[in-house]
Amino acid sequence: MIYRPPLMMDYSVAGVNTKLSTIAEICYTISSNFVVTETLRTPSSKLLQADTPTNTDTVEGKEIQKKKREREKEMVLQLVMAPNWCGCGVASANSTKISTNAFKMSSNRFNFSKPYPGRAYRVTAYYSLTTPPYELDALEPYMSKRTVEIHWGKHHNEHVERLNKHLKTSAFYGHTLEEMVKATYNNGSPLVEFNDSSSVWSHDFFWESMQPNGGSMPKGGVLDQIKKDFGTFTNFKDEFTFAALSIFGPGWVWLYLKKNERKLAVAPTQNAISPLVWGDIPIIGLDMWEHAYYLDYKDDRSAYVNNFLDHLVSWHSVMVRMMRAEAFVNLGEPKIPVA
Amino acid sequence: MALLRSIAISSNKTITLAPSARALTTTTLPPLPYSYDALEPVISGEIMMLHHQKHHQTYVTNYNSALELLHTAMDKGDVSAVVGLQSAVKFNGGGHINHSIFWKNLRPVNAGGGEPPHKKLGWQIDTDFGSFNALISKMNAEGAALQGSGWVWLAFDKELKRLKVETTANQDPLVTKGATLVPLLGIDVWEHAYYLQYKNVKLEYLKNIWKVINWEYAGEVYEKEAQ
Repeated sequence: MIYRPPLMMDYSVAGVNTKLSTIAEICYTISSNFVVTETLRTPSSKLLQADTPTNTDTVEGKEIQKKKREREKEMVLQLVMAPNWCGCGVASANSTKISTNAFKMSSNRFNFSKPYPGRAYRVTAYYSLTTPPYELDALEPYMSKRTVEIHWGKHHNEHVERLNKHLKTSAFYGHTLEEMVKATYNNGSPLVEFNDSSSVWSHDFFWESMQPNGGSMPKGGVLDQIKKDFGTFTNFKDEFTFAALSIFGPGWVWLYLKKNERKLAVAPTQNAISPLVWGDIPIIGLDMWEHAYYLDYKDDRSAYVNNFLDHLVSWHSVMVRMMRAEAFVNLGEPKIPVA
Repeated sequence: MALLRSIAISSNKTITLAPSARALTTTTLPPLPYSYDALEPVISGEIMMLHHQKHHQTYVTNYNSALELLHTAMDKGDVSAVVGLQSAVKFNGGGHINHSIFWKNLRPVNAGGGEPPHKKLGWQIDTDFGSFNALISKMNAEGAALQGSGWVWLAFDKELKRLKVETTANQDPLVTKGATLVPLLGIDVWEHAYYLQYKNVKLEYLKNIWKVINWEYAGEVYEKEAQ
């Protein structure tokens, strides 16, 4: 079973190879906020377009044929960057399209400062479907492979693709996902990109909130914090379950850290809303939309929530998230043992 | 003078009724006019059974308990409790209303389900939407575009005397979109209505459900309201 540690929350990585994606290229991270490359789909569709026969008897036909040949030679990777990396590059008439292979072979591959001197470049970046940190059947029998395949491969994927479609013309292009969620929520009158950006963020968060052989009890600092803020661990579980079952319609239930009050709390939300929109730090997220549990549990929501808490929730992820949250929220002095 | 004063004093009294004077009218789950597997293969028997026996029953049960709590709160004069219960009443009551209409909107194929509307409703559809197929496409598009859970309605506006396609979120009944709207047809696009069979392909469900729609019932409601 593959297990990798959860990603940081503030990520904006695109172009990761996934099992279901047909994106054929690699991504290069230039800085923590920007990602390289506008990767297009594999060139097969382009070649198919180029394969329709042209009538080369006319001058026009010859021109079209010439253009088709050029296009056939070009591969899909067009790497463009601003020479001094100000992030606001200019598309130059001199920018060269080179084949992917040539780029891979070239020594300029990792020299991002000036791979092609004297040329101006432009970066575009889009989101892609990140893979859960475990195999799709790793959560059996509490979440079946079929559910994960459809939930991740269809629903989550659909949100990513719709988000990318919005981003082609949106003013929020270039924002990190978290920034976009906060900005497009627009204090309660959400803009059109909110639903998809928040869904993408929440679903990434959800897959990483679970692990195979999860559940049972947290340890150490996490357990202490939960006991401090909920009384007992059982109280936390009861509150979480009650909140999950109280949602009218589709929604999510969150364990989150309140920044101002510096304590953990549980809250249900509607549709795709997450604690990000009101400025707090999510720690656990559970998808209570029907598509998340209907195939496995039909209408038995309490079984779904109980199984999540007892067998799926990743306290490892919780620990990492709390550690990161402590950079933003002072949770008090640590208990340093006296020698 | 004394008469006026006594009237002024009496208008300040609170109106009290003995609790038993206001009867608590609870609802019950209406039976389906056909068997659970009668709508196969458009909607599977498993979905119909779960939808009716579990989901609709839950709305009925929770509505009844919300109603009881509401009556208690009203008797005690607990305003915040009364207001707090409104969302539960709207959700569960709305769920009961909507699903009761839904069961009547469906009909097995061998009993006339899917037959397009004729007579007055048919003409009104042609007037307001251009053609029957245009209406179908419009309702399918609105249903597919709905984010989250909700309903798609073919509504008749009593005041404007015309048909409209509306959507409502969660279990909001159609009247929340307009007090003069009368539901002729409602299609449930909550995931529980199609997920077991169609998974995430909501559009397939919407395209297929027209095969079991009961246009006769819609026509009757329309003719009654369009007097």
